[in-house]
Amino acid sequence: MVEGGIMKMITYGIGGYDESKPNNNIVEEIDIPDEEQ
Amino acid sequence: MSDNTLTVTEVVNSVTVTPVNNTVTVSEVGTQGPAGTNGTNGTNGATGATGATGATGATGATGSSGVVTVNAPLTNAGTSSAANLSVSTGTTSAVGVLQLTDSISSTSTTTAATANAVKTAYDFAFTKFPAVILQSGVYYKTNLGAGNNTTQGYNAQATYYQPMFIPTETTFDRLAFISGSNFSGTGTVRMGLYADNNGVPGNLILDAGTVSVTAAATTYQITINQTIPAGVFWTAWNRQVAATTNSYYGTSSASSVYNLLMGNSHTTPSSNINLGYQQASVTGAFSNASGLTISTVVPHVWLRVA
Repeated sequence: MVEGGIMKMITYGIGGYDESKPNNNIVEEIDIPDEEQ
Repeated sequence: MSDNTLTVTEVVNSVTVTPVNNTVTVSEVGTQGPAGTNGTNGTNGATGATGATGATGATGATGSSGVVTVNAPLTNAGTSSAANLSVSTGTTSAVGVLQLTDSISSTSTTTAATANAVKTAYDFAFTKFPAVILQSGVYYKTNLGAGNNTTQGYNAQATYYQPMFIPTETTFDRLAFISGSNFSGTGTVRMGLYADNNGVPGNLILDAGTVSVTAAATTYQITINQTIPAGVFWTAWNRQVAATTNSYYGTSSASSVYNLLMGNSHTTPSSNINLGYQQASVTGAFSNASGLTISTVVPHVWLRVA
């Protein structure tokens, strides 16, 4: 899907963006291989 | 007596004799005055205790005999004063009691299906529907008839609705989209889910919240825990705060793209095919859908099965 074969995936916790929570409620940030290449 | 003095003291109507130094002086005492007036009455005393309960009254006289009136589906095999009631069997033309049955092959018109029979028929019907059962951990999006995977800016503060069909009740745990490869700056995207309202998005099921988009070619997703009943529902996506360069993966307007759930729908014959609906000027939290217009482009929105 995205040229280069690797893309980032950012996951927010329930409720989405929230400044009152650590890291604005981002619970996971990983690099994943693009399955559609 | 002292000092040779005799003192005799008397009161009312009496004589007082006071001898002093061998002398007796007799003084007369005046008569007694009239009696004084009576004083005021004292306060009332405390209330006394409650008396005992009275005896039970006598039994009343016996009433007259009643008359039973019977209406269908009740029948009376007795008399109006000595009833023997029963309920008629129901038919397709008359109300009444029915025998339950688990059968899914019976052609009877005087029995009724149990919940068990209905489930058996329901489960069998789904085996005939052209949709696979969704798998846990897999991402799904609306069923577009061509890939048309491109990047678009999409309208600012417009909510894009796309229909999805699920053959069974399903719980989803992620709602996701992908920023385009030429995205730049910082934007905000809100996502949600809506119930179907006779072919268009209706009541809000879930406002999943927003994500802050800061990077190109990146999957952004919000954790959710939402169970959706079998049938059609709608995803909702809205870029509410513009970035420097707005770019998201989805469809462009093209005749080769169609939504399998909507067919070649459009208000007039057109090469531009309706892929979903738009609602303009949605700037904050989602509410029930309104002010819908057809949309020939849609961003890709994925749901992951829990």
